Amino acid sequence: MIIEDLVAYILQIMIPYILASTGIIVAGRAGVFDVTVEGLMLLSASVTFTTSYLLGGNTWLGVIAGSSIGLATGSLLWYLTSVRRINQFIAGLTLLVVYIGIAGLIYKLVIGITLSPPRIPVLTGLDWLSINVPFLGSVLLKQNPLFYIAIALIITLHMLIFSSGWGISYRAVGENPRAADTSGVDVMRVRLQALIMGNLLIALSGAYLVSTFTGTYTDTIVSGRGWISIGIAIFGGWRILESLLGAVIISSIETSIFILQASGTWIPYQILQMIPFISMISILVWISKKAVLPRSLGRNYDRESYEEF
Amino acid sequence: MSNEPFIRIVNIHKNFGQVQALKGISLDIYSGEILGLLGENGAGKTTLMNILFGLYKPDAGEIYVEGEKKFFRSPSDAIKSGIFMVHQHFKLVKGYTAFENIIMGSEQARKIYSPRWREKLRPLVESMIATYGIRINLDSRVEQLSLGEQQRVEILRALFRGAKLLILDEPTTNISPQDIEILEKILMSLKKAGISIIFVSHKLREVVSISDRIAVLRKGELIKIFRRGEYEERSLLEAMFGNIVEALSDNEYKYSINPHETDREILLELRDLSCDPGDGGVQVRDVNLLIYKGEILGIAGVAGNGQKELAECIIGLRKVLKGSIIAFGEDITHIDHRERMRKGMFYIPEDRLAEGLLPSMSVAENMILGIHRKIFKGFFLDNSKINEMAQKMIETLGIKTSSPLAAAGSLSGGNIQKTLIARAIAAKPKILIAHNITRGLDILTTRSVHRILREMCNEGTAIILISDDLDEVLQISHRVSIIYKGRLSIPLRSEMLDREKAVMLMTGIENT
Amino acid sequence: MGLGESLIKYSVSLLLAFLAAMIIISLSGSDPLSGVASIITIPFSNPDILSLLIQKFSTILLMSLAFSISLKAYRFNVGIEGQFLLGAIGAAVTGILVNAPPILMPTLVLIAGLSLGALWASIPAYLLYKFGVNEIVSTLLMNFISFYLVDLIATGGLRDTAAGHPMTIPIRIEAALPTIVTSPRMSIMPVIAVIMVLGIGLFLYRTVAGYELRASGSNKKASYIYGINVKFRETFSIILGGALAGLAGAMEVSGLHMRLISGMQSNYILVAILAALLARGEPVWLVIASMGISVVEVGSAALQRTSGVPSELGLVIEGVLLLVILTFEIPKFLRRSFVKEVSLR
Repeated sequence: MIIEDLVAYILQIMIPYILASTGIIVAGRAGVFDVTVEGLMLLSASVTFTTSYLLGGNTWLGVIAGSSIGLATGSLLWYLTSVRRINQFIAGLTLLVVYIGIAGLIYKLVIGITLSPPRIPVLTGLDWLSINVPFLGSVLLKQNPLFYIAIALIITLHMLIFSSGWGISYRAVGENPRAADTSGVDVMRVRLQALIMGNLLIALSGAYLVSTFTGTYTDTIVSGRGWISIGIAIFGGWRILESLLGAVIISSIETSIFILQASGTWIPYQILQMIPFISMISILVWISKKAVLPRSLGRNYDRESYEEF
Repeated sequence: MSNEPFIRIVNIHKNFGQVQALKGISLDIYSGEILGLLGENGAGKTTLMNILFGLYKPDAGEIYVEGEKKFFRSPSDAIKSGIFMVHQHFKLVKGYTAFENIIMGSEQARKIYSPRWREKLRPLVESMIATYGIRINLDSRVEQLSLGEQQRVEILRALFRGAKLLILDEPTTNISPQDIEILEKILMSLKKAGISIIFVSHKLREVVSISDRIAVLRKGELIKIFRRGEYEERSLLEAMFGNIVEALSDNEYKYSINPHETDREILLELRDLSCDPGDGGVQVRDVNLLIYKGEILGIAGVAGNGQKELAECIIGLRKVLKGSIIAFGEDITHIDHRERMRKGMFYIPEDRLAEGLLPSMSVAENMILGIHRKIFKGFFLDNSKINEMAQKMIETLGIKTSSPLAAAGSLSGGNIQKTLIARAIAAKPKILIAHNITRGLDILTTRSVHRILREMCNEGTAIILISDDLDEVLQISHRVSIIYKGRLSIPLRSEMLDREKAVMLMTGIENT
Repeated sequence: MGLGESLIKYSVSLLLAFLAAMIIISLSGSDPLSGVASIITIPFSNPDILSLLIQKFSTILLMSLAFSISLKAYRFNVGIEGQFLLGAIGAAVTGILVNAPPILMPTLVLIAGLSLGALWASIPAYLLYKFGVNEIVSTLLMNFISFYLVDLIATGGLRDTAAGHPMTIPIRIEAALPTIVTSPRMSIMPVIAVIMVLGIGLFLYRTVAGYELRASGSNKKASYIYGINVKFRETFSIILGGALAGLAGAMEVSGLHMRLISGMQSNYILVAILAALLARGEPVWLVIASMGISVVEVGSAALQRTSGVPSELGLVIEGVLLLVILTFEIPKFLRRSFVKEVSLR
């Protein structure tokens, strides 16, 4: 029983991480380093929550609203980096800051300042089968629908980007956009697709945070998960299924900390809270020597620029 | 060959700012023919091909494919019309296998969203390989392939896209003689299948042996088209370089021999030097060279024959594989470039943007890069001193800028070049390695730069002048060596090396 | 871009920013025009709020300076938040525990803050230098660690048990920064901040080290070829930024709060990044950008108190301003597009 609960907990925590890191990888494989993640997750969470609240507790519509913020963000980032050629990090950080502001703004405008935060209905777990499959049963089959949507999306995207013929041309944009361009690939269009898909996933991650777990929103609901997701993407060598391992590790660490805290340990809870972050940094150092990344990551492409061969 | 041309290029003009790169070129290309495109650097060959491939838009003129007028807005349009270009520096994706590179970007691959693309496309590629006799290990990673094999991957890629015209830009520069033979065989089989080939090159020998017709460009104009068997080599050279017997330059511009040349103090010695080709570079081999105080040693050659590798090796940015470098009597083979600079060596790289310019900093600040620590020994630097010095350089070299404080990135190409030259002048080096420093400069400025170089060697500087411009090298160097496929010819005094012979060495007709 | 074009660009951006402000203000039920007007005027309306404005300005100026320094080396030290807090920790601990001659105390406190901030930054800086670990992610993660560190100390042995919110006991009186105005209380914070700006400006533009730092950020490869130790300069820029952010934290402890308070980092990192990007990292423009942002921040906070308009309004105004400015201008020298070059191969 306890092991089941453990696994269930880890799986729950994992989903936002893998959604976000998959989104980062999707964008990264086309050459765009998306640093807006943390802000987008927060804004999406805020929009999801407030939309659901305004619509009388319709959380699914909230999720859709939050996800569409991802769509808009992808387009905006594409415009800023591929069209206006603004440095990806500068554009990303600016958007990050603005989004954090807007997230809090929207919440305050809709909810106002209350003593007890309101809640929206959490997406409930499904009851697929009436038979009670031991172990796998409650863990894998009774999750909420968004869980399954997330898993499906991640597997689909991995196959699409890493195993399909379409993916060969897609990833070429992130490795050598000049080669892709002279092979007839529309680099601009691929980057737009990449950013829209990627940011959609990131936004979904934020929506997930708010629509599962407790159904409340606070400005600490993301608390570094966006940044850790970037770390997970780096850890996974910018490959989707491989980064799952990173998500598992981090989620397991978080779960362990939760258990430690609940068991009333002498270790101050602040130290425990630091551990995920220290771990992530250590992981980054550990894989630094063999880090693999798309060769054109973080660089905007300009057909006419005189670049080194 | 059919009677109607497959592609007609009609009156194409292309300007880059003030520079007229193409002045009304008209050319027909027939199916199943191999058309050689000959010309020096800057003649316009690559520009014309880039237009044909949709990378550039012409300022005037039209392109017809099978009688239909076409507007190519991107390579994708050109590819749809059956035109494919293999660039001199291969555009392959590292980390991908040969197979993946071949299908990358193709419509067939992009439409397959499942993992089944391998099964579906592999047979197609394998049958292509069989048909044209191009042997390649499809599952090798690109990094593991030799340059010749990489080229074959590029060609297969073109064929996979159904290319009816294959443009090869300088295909034989970086590959081995065996690979050149293989290439010629492949081209013959493509020709038999009715595919047209444009073979863009300087390498006279190969162009002559393989082309049905040869179009010669010079300074943006089409000079003449030669048919196989109907011309002599000499007329080709004449078309390419102009009258090759006389020197092209103004006689009064020819400088007299520097009296210091009799001072035989050796500043730099290269002994059996072989340099690390690195990632896809040219292997510089068995170089033996002495460079004397106060001389200009010119190294002429067609771009891509190891000039950059040699320059980097001498300054210390590239590892030595074999042999040694001795400067000022001291073995510096294993000394890093910073130390070499401190000893008095200086380098002006060819790629002024990627390796020379600090775009967000002022013109003046750009001029002191590399010598900033020499000028200012302490903690502080004196801006007024820098700006004063910069102002002088601006006047001397005629740099068009509003002030020394203007951001260097806003300067035009030629002025950027002058800024980098100013840097070298300010450095007062004992040994200067200059690579293509007058490229893009007008005649007057080029001459003033030459004058400055001569002044520098009067003061004792030894200059290794690496240039794609044969005339420049012949005009101002004391001795000249030709670089070809990473090897250097024995330096001859410039007045003893006639132009015709130099050209033959550069284009590989004669061996070094 | 000429002067006229610049003027248009800035005016349009300001207009759009305030348009956004007006929309938000009306959405929250207040009068847009008077709302916008109050944002600009309230910060100057009385001595107390003016003092607050100047204090905020000092911190934001130092923080944006910290970010700018690494920006100049083309590195993104987003860890200024954590470095700020570590500086605050150093200052508080020194100010509470160390018993030195009163003359020396304020200086010691500031030095402690500066050093701890630099130390905190040196960890990710070293990881970048030695292992190539991307500094955006590593410095950011360090921020989160620092939050908990602050909380630990503010709830630990130095805790002020009488206070409702986690914070330490006050620092000794001798450790407090000297004041320049007594009523309302204004320490020498702004003086220190401005001196730092001048100092960094001098460093960047009048010293060899500063030149090399800027060159590294302008073109890494060219700088390397011409003898600059780029890796070292990048690392150094991050550590220097840490020192500056740490100083800001120390200043807030010994000049404003007189203690370490959990959460004192506020939203400084966000506004500092905006200010630095608006000013493109140039020290002179930083002063203007920081002042402008401080006004908007103080004004929107005041507006929240009086009319209930969310104070995030400030962030949105500043962000929209920056976004519009970025979109309408790509200075030629930041754009690597030289069409002429391609033909001359």
